[in-house]
Order: sequence, then C-alpha cells, then structure tokens
Amino acid sequence: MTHRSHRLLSVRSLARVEGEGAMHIRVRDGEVESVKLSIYEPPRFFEALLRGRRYDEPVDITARICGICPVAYQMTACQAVEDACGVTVDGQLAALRRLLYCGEWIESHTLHIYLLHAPDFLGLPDALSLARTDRALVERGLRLKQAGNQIMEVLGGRAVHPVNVRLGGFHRLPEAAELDRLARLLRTARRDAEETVAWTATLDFPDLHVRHALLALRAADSYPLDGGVPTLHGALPDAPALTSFPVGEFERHVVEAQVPHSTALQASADGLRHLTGPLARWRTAADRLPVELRDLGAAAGLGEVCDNPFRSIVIRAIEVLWAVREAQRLLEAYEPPPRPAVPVPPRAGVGHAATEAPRGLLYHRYELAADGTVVTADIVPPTAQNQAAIEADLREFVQQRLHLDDAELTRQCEQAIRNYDPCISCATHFLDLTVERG
Amino acid sequence: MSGTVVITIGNEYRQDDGAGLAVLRLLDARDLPADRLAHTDGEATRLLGLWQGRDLAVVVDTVHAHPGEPGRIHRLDLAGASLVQGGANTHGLGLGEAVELSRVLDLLPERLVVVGIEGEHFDWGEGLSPAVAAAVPRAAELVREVCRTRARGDRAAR
Repeated sequence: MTHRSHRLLSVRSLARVEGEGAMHIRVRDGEVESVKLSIYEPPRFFEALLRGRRYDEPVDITARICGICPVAYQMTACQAVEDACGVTVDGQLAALRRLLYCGEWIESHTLHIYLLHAPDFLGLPDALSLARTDRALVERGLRLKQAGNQIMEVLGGRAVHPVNVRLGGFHRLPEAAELDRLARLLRTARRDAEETVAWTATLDFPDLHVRHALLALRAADSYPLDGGVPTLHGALPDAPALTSFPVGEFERHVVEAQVPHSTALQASADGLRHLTGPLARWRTAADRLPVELRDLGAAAGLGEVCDNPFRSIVIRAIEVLWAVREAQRLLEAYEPPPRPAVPVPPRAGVGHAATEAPRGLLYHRYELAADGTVVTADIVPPTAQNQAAIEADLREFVQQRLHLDDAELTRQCEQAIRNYDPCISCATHFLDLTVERG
Repeated sequence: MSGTVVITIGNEYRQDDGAGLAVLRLLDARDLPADRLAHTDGEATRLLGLWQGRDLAVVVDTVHAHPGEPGRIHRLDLAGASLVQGGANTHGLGLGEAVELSRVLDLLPERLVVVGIEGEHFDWGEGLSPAVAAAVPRAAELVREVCRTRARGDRAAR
C-alpha cells in the first residue's frame, strides 16, 4: 500500500513486443488519471512512400512493415490492388495464398504464445528462463513454429519478407516434393498444436473483463483468414452484430485520429472504441470453427463470447490448431494450377481489401492511375485500431491493483499489454510504461 | 545438417539497417564456400533454425556502438558459450537472445562469426549512409575470408 498521493509508473521500453514504445500511467488521489501508450518508433510514412510507385510494388514494400506478419501485408496489398484492377484470384492460386497465410498464423501465433507471452503466465522473466525451466515446452514451441516457417519458405520463397508473392499469384509454383515435405511436417505440427491448446487451458488467468466493440471479418463458410465481411459487435456479451459492411465502405465506419502522445493513429468503429484480433474473431466467427475446436475452447473455459484478454492465449492456440488443419486440408485438395499467376493489367481505379492478420483486422486501400501508378494508399493495421482499447483496459486493470507496489504493478501491466500481442512497428502508429501516482 | 550458412539481417526500407542485405547482394553463391545464403529480419527463432547443426554460421548485422563510428566493422567470433548482445532489430527477441536460446537448447553451430557494421541512420527510407555504403564491400570480403578459411581448414583436415 502506498502512502503517496501521486504515483507515476513508467516503462520506457516494453520488452517482448514487436517494435519500440512506452507506457505511462498517472495515479492521483487513488484514481487512475491517465493511461498513455506511446509509440515513439519513428513514423514510417508507408502510405507516403507508396505514392508514385508502380502498382506491383506495394506487395513487396508493405511486407517490410512487420517482420512477424509480412504475409498479412502481402495478401492484403495483393487483394486491394487486384480489386482496383478488376481481377479476382481464385481456384488453386487462392488456395496457395491461403496456405501461405496459414503458415504465418502458425508461426506468428506460436512465437507469441511460447516465447513472448508464456513466461508471463509461468512467472518467468523471459524465454531463456523458460527454456532453462521447461526445455521440452520450448522445444515443442520451436518445432511448431518451424512448421509455419517451412510453409512460408516453400510458398513465399523465404520465411521472412517473402519474395515469391506477386500480383495475380506467385512467381514460382511449389514442387510436389516440397508440398509432400510440408504435409509430413504438419502431421507432427498437428499433435504439437493439440498439446498447445491443452497446455494453455491449464494456465491461470487474472480476472479482467473488457467492454469494447469487437471488429472482425466474417466469412461465408470458414473461420476468417484471407477475406470476409467486416462485422462489428457491441460490447454486451449477448449483443447481436451492430453492423456488417462491405470492405469498400471500411473508411466510412473505421475512422482514424491523431492523439498527442503517440506517433500512431488511433481508430474508432462507428464512433465506438473497438478491438480487433483473437477476442473479436472468436466473437464473430467461433461458430465457423469445426465443432471439435469449439469444444476444445469450451473445455478451456471459453464461452460464446470471451471478454478476458488474458484468455486470448487460448484462442491463439485454437487458431494455430485450426491453421494447421486448414493447411492440411489445402494440401490434400491441391492440384497444380496451369500457371503461377493470372495477368493483372493496370487501370485507373480504387481497390480495397481486408484480411485477418494474427493480431487483427488489417485494411488496405490503393488508388491507381491508368498506368498503374499508385496515387494514394491507406493502411489501417490492427495495433493502431486496438490502441485506445488497450489504454482503456489498462486503466481498469491498474485501478483494481493500486495496492501493488510499483514494480509488481508494472510487471502485471506489461503482461496485460502482451495479451494483445501488439505490433508497434506495424502500428507505427506504439510502448515505454510510466505510472505517476499522485 | 552441416556446412556453412551465411545469414544477413536487416530491413532495406530502414536506411542503414539495410546494410546486411547490401552485403548479401555482393556475395555470389557460386564462388562462396557456403551451403546457404539467407536474409532475415533477425527474429531469434528464425536465426536458430538457420544455424542449428551447421559447422559455421556467419551473421552480418547492422550494429550500434558507443561511441559510434559509422561504417566501422566489428568481427565477433563466438565459440559456443559466449553471449552477444542484440543488433539493431526491433523485435521482441533478437540476435543476443538467439545465441543464448541456442546455447540453452544445444543448438549453436560449431562456430558462429558475427560481422557487425556500425550504422548511422535507422529512420524509415531507402539508402545507406555514405560511410556504411563504403563499408559494405569490406564486410562482404570479410565474409568471404571467413568462409574460405573454414573451407581451407576442412580440406586440410581431410
């Protein structure tokens, strides 16, 4: 218990998140006065960089926004530019794109679950301590992550910042032997993913219930990944969907605004503070999962709606298992297409696309000139959309834990932030913790 | 798995962080005694996956130094148990953690050489600072020398 009337908690550089940022919490007379997530990484000006580029360049350039989820950027950029050009990529080429995206979900989620977030739940400072404490656990995580990595290497040409993706499809199609090797890896990965779900269900989850609107894609016949209809749910657990809207109307519903303490934009959806990512996908599309996976979620304590961000690690584990199974399904149904890519001739127009990056809904819009030159570009990443919700959650979280000393409160706040797997460098738009207690 | 892997780290759209990729572009797999050339963002588990089981891993990364001298080249020869602190990547786990995690899990290559190029500017954008650009050919030559020395050692051993 503190006798001070003012407290300032400050984390100048958050560990185990992607990118560089800070958090500042000011407490005055027993009330949390302000919570600020500051993104101090230099603004990247991606949209400005893309202006004047050829229409086939965003697919490679935007992949460099994030080392952990480059495929999300590539897939969304491809679809948005192709939309502007009036081209739809379907059939086995779309299946291969989806397979690549599955690889990224497996790799990115597994990295977060095992190496970035698990130490928090086990009371350990970092992944190295976890490896020393439970070597088999880390080895399972690395094995599972490697399966996703291999999918990205085979389809993307390399595991990071893939170079094999192009408008209309791929530069090179995978060979049968490469796909056979992936199928063998996925058999082991499926067992590891099942064990991951069972393990996350045994973790202790601090009590925190959030009230935000939830935004995710809803696809016609699948859990959302590479497409769907943006669907906004209200905060109440049993609220029906507030609205669904075409991707082309995204910017009418999701509005970005600058805040003084961050180089990242913040966003609201239909005027509501909203959250994207695992909690939103579960709310919007858990009914699209195979019944066995829904049952695994129920057994792990997930209801139809999950409003505890700490349990997002369970949803991520289920999503890894789903992605492994989906990758297996795609491989079993694969037949080589006649050519690696379909033509995408340029034309003047505006194209939109949204996909589900591991951290949440990602939106791209490109306006093209007749010769394919990019006139304007707009990228709305999930972390920027989530930033206001994270700040609101931390306000409630800290208010309930003011009896803790600064060190413990700071540690718990950092864990709470990692619930959202924030990608500061893709938000450009995020974390240091400062808590002022007044 | 055995043999030599050359791994470059960095982001070409972040100014001097692109030095590793610039080095890679100067390396020709046909005259370099290496089994694999790879470029990554420096995320720890990807590094670990690339170098585990190798006889030699050469890692090229952009680094900070205090006091700094942009373009200065550092060679760190890590024989198994040494820890190197991370480079200029922005990820949750970087090069230093990759080395330590590999050590804990017995996944370090037999020999790990880090070629570090001191950078100057890391803001968004393309292009290297003049001093860093000038260092790229020298760093590439150092990579060749390390790989060839290893290859000559292997032949002598046979």
